[in-house]
Amino acid sequence: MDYGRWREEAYRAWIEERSQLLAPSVRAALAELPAAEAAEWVTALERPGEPAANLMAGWCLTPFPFRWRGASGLDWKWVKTSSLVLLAYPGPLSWDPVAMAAILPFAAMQTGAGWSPAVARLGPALGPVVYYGGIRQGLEPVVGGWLRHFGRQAARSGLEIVVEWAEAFGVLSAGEWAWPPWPEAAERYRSQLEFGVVPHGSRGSSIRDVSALLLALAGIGAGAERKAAALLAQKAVLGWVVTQRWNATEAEEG
Amino acid sequence: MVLGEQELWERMDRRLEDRLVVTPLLSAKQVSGGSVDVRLGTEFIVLKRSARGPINPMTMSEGAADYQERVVLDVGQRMVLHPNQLVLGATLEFLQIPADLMAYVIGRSSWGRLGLIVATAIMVQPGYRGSLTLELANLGDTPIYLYPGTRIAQLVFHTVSSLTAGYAQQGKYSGPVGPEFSKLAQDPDWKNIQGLALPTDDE
Repeated sequence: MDYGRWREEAYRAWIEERSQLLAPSVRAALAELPAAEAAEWVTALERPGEPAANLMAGWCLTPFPFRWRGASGLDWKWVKTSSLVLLAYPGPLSWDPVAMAAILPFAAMQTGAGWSPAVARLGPALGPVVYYGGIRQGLEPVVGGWLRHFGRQAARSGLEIVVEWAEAFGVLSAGEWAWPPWPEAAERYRSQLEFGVVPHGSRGSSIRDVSALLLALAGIGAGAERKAAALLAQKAVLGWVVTQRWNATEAEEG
Repeated sequence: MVLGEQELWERMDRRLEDRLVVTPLLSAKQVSGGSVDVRLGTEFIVLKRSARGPINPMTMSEGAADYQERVVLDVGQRMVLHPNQLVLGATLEFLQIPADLMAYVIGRSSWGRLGLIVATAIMVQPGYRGSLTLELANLGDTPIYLYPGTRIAQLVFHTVSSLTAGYAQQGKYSGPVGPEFSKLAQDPDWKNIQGLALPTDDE
């Protein structure tokens, strides 16, 4: 047996052994990949997914018609197989909902879906999301568009660092999209985060606007207080998800 | 004095500094008859049988992974609680208790009749902020499914006659959004307890 075949078989046996607890659809996806690549994915998939990343992935990937499985890696990575998409996100940033919302622009780039789904869902939060998510390539038109629409407001809302970063892209390359307006709720959510409570609506109801929450969290900056605020924001997103499903079930039952 | 439904709602409308926060409230029916129902969250700490030794409350931070595992369910998933198993859960809701209120936590008897005992710190201090850690134990002989979102306990709020400095500024447990393991090892008494102890064979 030549070395190449011997190595391939050793990798396949290792993958088979390590992936026994994974779902059948994930194992089927791994079987479609070259052995060395599948082995890397197995290593990432063995760890449980990060709660904030899973929550944000659920919110971000709703517009896309495919099944996915997230994995905590070191960088953004994407593989499409016949059964599902494997998506790796940077685990060290996974506690931060703003950084993890970059799953949406990342998916938009990978699928060739264009920027419209990300612009519609993230709106003014798109700038801070790509900045903190660490996505750096292929952004010129959309970052230019964000800067032209929201640069001034962002600079007044604690996002000076994002504006400065976006200015390097230049507004001349700005494309045209239907940007939603700057959400009024962002300031209220930011006050609640800074006060140390989970952002909420009237009388204990959940937040209504996840993108406003992301703007509020991004406005807190990158200091030590960001992590505490990010945990409160995660809880707010969880509340929003549960509330949406709860209301949908009640509506179905009439 | 126990707060009634109308006053509970009125407290939830106050300015942020004085507001009673219980969020997310999935249904207005959770506030009823002088109490607020709270639901089971998605995050758990599962206590396991240790392979290495007993829990020493003086040094609990060492080797905690040997006897506990953090489990986070996706919304819609469920977890099995086996007979004689103890898990720590947390309320889905995040609370802020104003400085002039305190709350008692009462487990729902419907769960107790299935063998599921819901215990917690029982009293929630004025000024507390965070989710509540719930100790869930199955004392029955049959496994029970735990579904996040289930109403698991009730909070009964009382007024406090003289204002205190507030738990958030003093306590060890302010601000968690998920279950927290015991912080007994941080108790200041341990130095004195160690001073009382006689030498043993294994030291």
